[in-house]
Amino acid sequence: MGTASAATARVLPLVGRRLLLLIPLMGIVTLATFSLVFLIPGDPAHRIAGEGASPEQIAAVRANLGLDRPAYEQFFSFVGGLLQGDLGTSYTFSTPVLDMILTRMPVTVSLTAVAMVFALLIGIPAGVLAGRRAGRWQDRVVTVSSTVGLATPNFVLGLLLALVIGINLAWLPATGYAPMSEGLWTWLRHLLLPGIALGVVAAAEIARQLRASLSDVLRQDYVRTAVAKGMLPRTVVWKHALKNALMPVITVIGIQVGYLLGGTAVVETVFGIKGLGDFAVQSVLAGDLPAIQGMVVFAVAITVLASLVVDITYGYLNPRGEAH
Amino acid sequence: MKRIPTLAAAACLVLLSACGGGDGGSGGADSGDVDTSATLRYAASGGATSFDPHKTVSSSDFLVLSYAYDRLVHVDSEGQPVPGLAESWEFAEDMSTLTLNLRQGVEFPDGTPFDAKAVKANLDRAMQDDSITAAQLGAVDSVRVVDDATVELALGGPAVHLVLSLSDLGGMMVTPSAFDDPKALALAPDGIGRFTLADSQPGARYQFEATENYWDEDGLKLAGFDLQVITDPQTVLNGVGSDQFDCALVSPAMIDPASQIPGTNVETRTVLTQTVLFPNQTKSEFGDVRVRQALNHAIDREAVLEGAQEGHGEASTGLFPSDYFVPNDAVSDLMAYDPDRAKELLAEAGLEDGFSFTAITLTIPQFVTTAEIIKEQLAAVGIEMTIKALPPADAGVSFLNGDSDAVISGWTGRPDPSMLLTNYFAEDAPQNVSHVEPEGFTDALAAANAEEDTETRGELLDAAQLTVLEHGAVVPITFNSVGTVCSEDVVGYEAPLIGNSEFRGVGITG
Repeated sequence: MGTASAATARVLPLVGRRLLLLIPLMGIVTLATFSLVFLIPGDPAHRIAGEGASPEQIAAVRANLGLDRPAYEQFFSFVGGLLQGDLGTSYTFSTPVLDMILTRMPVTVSLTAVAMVFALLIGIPAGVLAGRRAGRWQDRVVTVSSTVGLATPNFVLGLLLALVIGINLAWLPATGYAPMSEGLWTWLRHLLLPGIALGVVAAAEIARQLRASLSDVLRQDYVRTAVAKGMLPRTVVWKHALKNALMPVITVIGIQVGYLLGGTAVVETVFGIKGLGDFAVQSVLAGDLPAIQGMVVFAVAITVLASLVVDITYGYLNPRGEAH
Repeated sequence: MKRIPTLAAAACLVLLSACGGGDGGSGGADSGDVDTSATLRYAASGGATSFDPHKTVSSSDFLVLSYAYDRLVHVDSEGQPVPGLAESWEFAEDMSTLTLNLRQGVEFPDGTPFDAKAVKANLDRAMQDDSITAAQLGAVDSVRVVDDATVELALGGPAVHLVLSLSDLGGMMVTPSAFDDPKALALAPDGIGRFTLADSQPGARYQFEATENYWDEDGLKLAGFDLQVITDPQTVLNGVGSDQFDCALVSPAMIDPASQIPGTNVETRTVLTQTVLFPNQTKSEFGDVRVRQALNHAIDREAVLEGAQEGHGEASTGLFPSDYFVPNDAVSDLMAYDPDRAKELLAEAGLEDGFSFTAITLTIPQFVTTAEIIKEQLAAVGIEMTIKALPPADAGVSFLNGDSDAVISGWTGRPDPSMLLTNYFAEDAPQNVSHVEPEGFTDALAAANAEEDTETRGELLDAAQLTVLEHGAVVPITFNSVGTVCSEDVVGYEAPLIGNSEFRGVGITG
């Protein structure tokens, strides 16, 4: 209990500081995303009204969307909406952007979760194996495999998996998504191939980081002492060394959450999955400004949140209280 | 085959080269084993921006809306009019009115009878200034209720093209009470149609259920229609190959790979959608008609067809494909590949050393490849073209704003040829970027729109396109070929000419 209280005492100020820092950060993000209206070339009102629209129809669209108001008014209206959880209405689908994001979020969360579980299931054992056998053939196999994993674009891997496992072997669906309400296995089998395609880079990165970190920790005095005291090597690795070796890996996992979210744009397109990545791609292609702005604000919020969770975890695990 | 009433049959005789089957008011499923409890899963390349046919801003919404809304006039697979919610129609002898005889015994979802009053309410709304359909119905001065089953459209001039215009968004029949809540209507369809929307994820998936007691039994052989939006062409084929979809539209480049999928059939057809180079006559050297004519002679369209469309489709010999009711006889010489003639014309215009211009194109592989081939071909006659690729949502608007000298893009098929001609070449048309009208264009088009005989009208429309191509107002390049890959279980499918399949009368065998 005493340790937990100390950890809590360490972490609370950290959380407070980070939450305070969020205010200027989100302010900058808000201003930057709002500026998209002016930075993206072309007239949004004309784009929405369509090529065949008359000048009167374009003017009507501009007035309807408030695009004829001064920039500062539009900005305050945008911020006011954000503070009330209103991300605006999609130009393309006449639907609140927040509703579209919330509808698609479970799909992307599912995909990201499956990818992360795959990354951890592959990355941690591979990293431990390579770290324990540093310099031996097992290490080389893991190092080469992770290099290949990092170098393979996820759309290439995704297409290969879809063609070979999805179509030629017909073991798993090559496209689409099924919600969990249709059954756990139905849900999972639709996510396995995209999850692997998305998670392989994270798995490789985790394996590389863990291998470096663990081989370093295994050379430290306390590990030698533990071995000298007669503890089994496996116990030393899994009970003592791994806890310290995982510290940098946790940072990597936090960073990978952001990468995975970015990767969904490609993987969801390849597998025909209608999640946030696909939404982002479609919004950009359609020049749907409120949707793009909403996605940027949402993605920044998620990335910042993941970073905060990593810091908190660090704060709890780091006995020296050096989390920043 | 459904019976076509007398007046409609007469209209078919005068307007059509063929008047049977297809996607029109009658079904095509000829198998007795159709499973009427089946749902057809379809992969499409786009969703609907709005379910309000009159107030949407995107004409491409027609595809999704056609499942939920019937129109006054339907079209068959040859693009010709067949009865829809109007059982028949006739023009007054002096072309001052078009009378529509309405289908009886049909109701809107809220129980309101479909009658002349409802049609007038719909057409009046579709003709409002802020409506995308106002231009389609521009020939209509007013709508008059004659009796419950008859409406009379007062016309501002000859308007034979109006019949097919009523097969587009402007002819869709919405429940009049839905007009009071346009926001709700934008999100969910409310009108007479084969399907009602059961669930949707805008831009991603639209799940439709069959309408109970639908008036056209032959046109509805499914219990549901599940449309999923898939943008990546390879993903579409993967979905069909792994039985995630029953049917999918495929681009020219994917027709050959699609035909390799076991257990499926691929139907291909050259459609009205075409690739064009459209110059802004107020920019670069395009103010000189000889320069624009030179462009038409400088392009080897067969090479573009092979290079950019894998040979699928057709090299343009005019503004219409070769099997259409409008011949290209009058204009094909103006588009003959003749680089020497192109050089002569440039020399006559004082441009012996050539000139340069910028062309916007779409960030779609087919268009980028087309633009690159054209760039090479123009270079051979001394014209330097710089390509600027933009996303489809921006390309057209950017061109209309004067950001480039020309655009290489796709013109989608319109139900009636005069709609295409008016949209791009009438002086005040928003899409006529130069706002320059070819000499004699208005009179030629008016003559065509006063003629009800299909063959004669085709010749008159050919004369109208002659004014356009003599003026060098556009450089037609190729017609697209659209393929539809369907599981072998799907029956009754006919590839339509316009490119949008309504799947009317299509079924799935048990």
